[in-house]
Amino acid sequence: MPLHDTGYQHWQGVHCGLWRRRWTIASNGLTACLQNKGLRYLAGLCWAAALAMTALLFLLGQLLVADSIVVQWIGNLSPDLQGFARTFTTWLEQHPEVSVRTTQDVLFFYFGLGLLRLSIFALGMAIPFLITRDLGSNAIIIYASKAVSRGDYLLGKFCTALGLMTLTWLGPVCAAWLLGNLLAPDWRFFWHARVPLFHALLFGLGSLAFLSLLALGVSAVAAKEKSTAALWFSWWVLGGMMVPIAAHTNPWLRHASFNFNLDQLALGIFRLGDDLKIAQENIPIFGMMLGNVPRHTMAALNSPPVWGAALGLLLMAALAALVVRKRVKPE
Amino acid sequence: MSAVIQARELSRWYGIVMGLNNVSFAIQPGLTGLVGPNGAGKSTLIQIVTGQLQPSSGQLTVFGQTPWNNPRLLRRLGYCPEREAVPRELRPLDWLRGLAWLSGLRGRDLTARCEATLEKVGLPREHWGKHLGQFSKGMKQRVKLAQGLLHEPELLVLDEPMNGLDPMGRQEMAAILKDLAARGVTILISSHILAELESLCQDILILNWGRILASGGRQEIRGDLKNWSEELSVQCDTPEVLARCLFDAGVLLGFDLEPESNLLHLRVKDAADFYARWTGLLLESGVTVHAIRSQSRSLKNIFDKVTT
Amino acid sequence: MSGQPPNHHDAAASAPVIATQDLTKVFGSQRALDGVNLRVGRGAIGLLGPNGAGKSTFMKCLLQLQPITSGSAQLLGREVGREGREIRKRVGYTPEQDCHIPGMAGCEYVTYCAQLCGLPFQAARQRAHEMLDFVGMGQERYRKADTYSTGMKQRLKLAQAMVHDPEIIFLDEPTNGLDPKGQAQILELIQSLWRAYGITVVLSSHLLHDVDRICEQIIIIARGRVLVHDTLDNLKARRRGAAEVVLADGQDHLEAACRRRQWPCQLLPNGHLKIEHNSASLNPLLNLLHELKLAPLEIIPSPNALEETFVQALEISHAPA
Repeated sequence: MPLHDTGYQHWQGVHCGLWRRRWTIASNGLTACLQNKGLRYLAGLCWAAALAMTALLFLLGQLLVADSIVVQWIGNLSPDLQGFARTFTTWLEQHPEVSVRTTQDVLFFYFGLGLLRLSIFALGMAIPFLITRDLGSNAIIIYASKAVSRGDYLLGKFCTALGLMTLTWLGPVCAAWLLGNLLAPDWRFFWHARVPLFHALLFGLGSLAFLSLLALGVSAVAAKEKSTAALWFSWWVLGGMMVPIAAHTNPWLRHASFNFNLDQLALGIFRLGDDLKIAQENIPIFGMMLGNVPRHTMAALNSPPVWGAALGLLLMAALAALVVRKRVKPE
Repeated sequence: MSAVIQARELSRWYGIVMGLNNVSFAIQPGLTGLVGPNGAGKSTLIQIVTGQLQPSSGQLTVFGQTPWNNPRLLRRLGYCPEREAVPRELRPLDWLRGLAWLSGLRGRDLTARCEATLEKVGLPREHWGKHLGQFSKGMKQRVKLAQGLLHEPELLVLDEPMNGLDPMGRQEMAAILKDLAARGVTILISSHILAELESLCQDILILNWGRILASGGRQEIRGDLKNWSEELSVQCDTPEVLARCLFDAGVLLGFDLEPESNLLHLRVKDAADFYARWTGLLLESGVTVHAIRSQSRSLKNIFDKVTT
Repeated sequence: MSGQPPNHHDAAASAPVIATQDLTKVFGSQRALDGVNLRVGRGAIGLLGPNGAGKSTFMKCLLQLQPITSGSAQLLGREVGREGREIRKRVGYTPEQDCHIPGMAGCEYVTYCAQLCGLPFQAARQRAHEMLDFVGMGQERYRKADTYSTGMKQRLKLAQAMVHDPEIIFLDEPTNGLDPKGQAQILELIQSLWRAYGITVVLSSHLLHDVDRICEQIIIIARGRVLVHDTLDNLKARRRGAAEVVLADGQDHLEAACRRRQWPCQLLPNGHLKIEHNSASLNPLLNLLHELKLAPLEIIPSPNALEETFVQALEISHAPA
């Protein structure tokens, strides 16, 4: 047929399922977030930190290997440090279940909390891309007229935030654990390090889910990008500033800071207090170092206000859900 | 009759971006329509007329004076912008009262004038108690018109005044505007809905790319167009028969048949001669006529021919 | 494959696209919709009504943008409250207000919209470009949608409403903000949707001449009730026998002659004469004009039928304007 029909054509194909559509919303949101250069650099920083963590784990593992370069290098630095290293090595060799577990628990605790702060920063940069921009350009009504419900839209956006934090937290932590233990001198390291991984994943999934929900709530508050990002960052910063002040006056007021609550949750899950006690018992020089730490800090480490923190997080999550439900309407 | 608005070699530039380019026209009392595609310079022109912008070069006078920095002149002007420029938290009467107070009215006179204006624009009394934020688009348009009319201006500038009004509202607003024009108010309406301007305005100002393409009465513009010819379409039972008859009579420049809709589109050579013989030819041909429509006299047709 | 040109006479016989039973929507103390009962067949449907009197609420309830208070509604044979997602796979909507999903180029946006309606990515991308061709968008499709002019945005809205090959499209004031050329282009596209491709169009507009041009069925909703539901031809037929005559001059001669023949005659505000000649064609009127040696510039049959219907319907229901 010489002349081809370029007018309107009907479509007779098979429709995709609901989960595919939800996936489209989530992946589209994540792509939009990652178009931001700053966010890409931040994600890169998180993975660089994972590499650094891997290197540290490798070095610690090398302490066990006799005549390794690491041991000689420490020996050259200072005799005190060498003594510490020798004690540490002995402890590692004699009680691998406890020593590897305790060491990696402490390391992953600090690593996880550090990455958490980077992730909160990343979420703050991504907040406009979640719901704020859609509110500003009336996109909700477009979504409402497609074959997705409000729940699908919110689920997709939730997964966008979750996906971003997989990139900045979960991915680096798992990669650091995997590579760090892969480069260890003994295969048994994997087995001994299972508890720290379990702690990290438990804390990670809980806190990432909470932060995603909170980010959705904050991003739904206003239709201006700068307003919602500012709200996130100011809540974070002011909360952080308020914690030491409230510690002296009204301790429960500290729970208004989500970062503080998450830290307490981490302390509760990782049981850092127990880890430090074990280390103290086995490495006397470590015990002397810890003796200088003030008593209330040790008390806080030993019995963190986990239930208060959990309640605080739950309330914030409920508030976020309420805000989202009210603001995201197809009008 | 002296012109109400006179522009002479008026230009307005925004840096290198052109708003208006060497524009000259005169607007007479009565209803004048301002038409042009988006970005043609209509808003720039309106802003200069209402004293919000100064020309970069050239001159524009309203009632013989320049509008820029001229509060006494602006008192004789009313302006209804396109945007929804109404405060959401106020009630219509309160807002009008505030504006009237600013204009110098006081006491019982103030309330009476505000209420009369609201009634004139046809805002039903039951809505007077609501906040402006709750109004529909059409009601907001009426309140905007009210604030423009409050101080009884001699020149009224309206930007898309019928936007959002339902058909009855449009009829009512058209009646109000015609009434005002009959009482001597000069009205300049900028709109995209040519069908409405057609029934309202005799004079038209056509802008495109910051330049004036045509100004004056519709018939004058038509007469000036080089590529203009009288075009009609006739709906009848046997258009081919009519076509042959007219062709034989020698009045046609060209024609088009649309057999499915029983339409015959004609272009005639000499309008005067044609119309003198028109009814005779129709009856002679013996066809049953259902409609005769002019294609070339509409404002849309003029606009298309001028802007190509 | 393209759609077949439709025959709307069997539309009434086949399954209705829109059916409501006692549809009611209450906002606090106000009854926006009060027991609406409708059965609408396929075709080009004009939805008219005064502001704030139930017209937009009706459309929003059908599209599930507002929940229904009581009663039921079916769109394309499926229950509106229950099968929302399934229905919306086959329904397109262009909202009145400015809206788009931010941060994407035009073609990406339309592709995304297609995927949201269940099209697989390859098909979505292909159809997105086909639709952008259909609405007449050229290279602009590769620019971010946030930078588009009003005309481009309206075209984009139409493209995203059609990309998933819907059976019915709801258009809310599609020519809003467009200049005359843009209006003509969009209206031509909309006209072709039903006439050439068999897609049912529901056009909600205040511009009666647009509705007149495109729609064959008219529904007027005012005060929460359906006042008129009829075909445009029927509405015009009821007003047959009246014509609006445009003369260059000599209106008074014509008026006098009409009075002599006892044809009701009215001088309209725009200077035209409305004459009720009560015959099936214009020939008697032409005879009269020929006798008077007057040349008509235009004779429009059953003029403003839609406007008169609208006004009449509202007057009967005492609805506020």
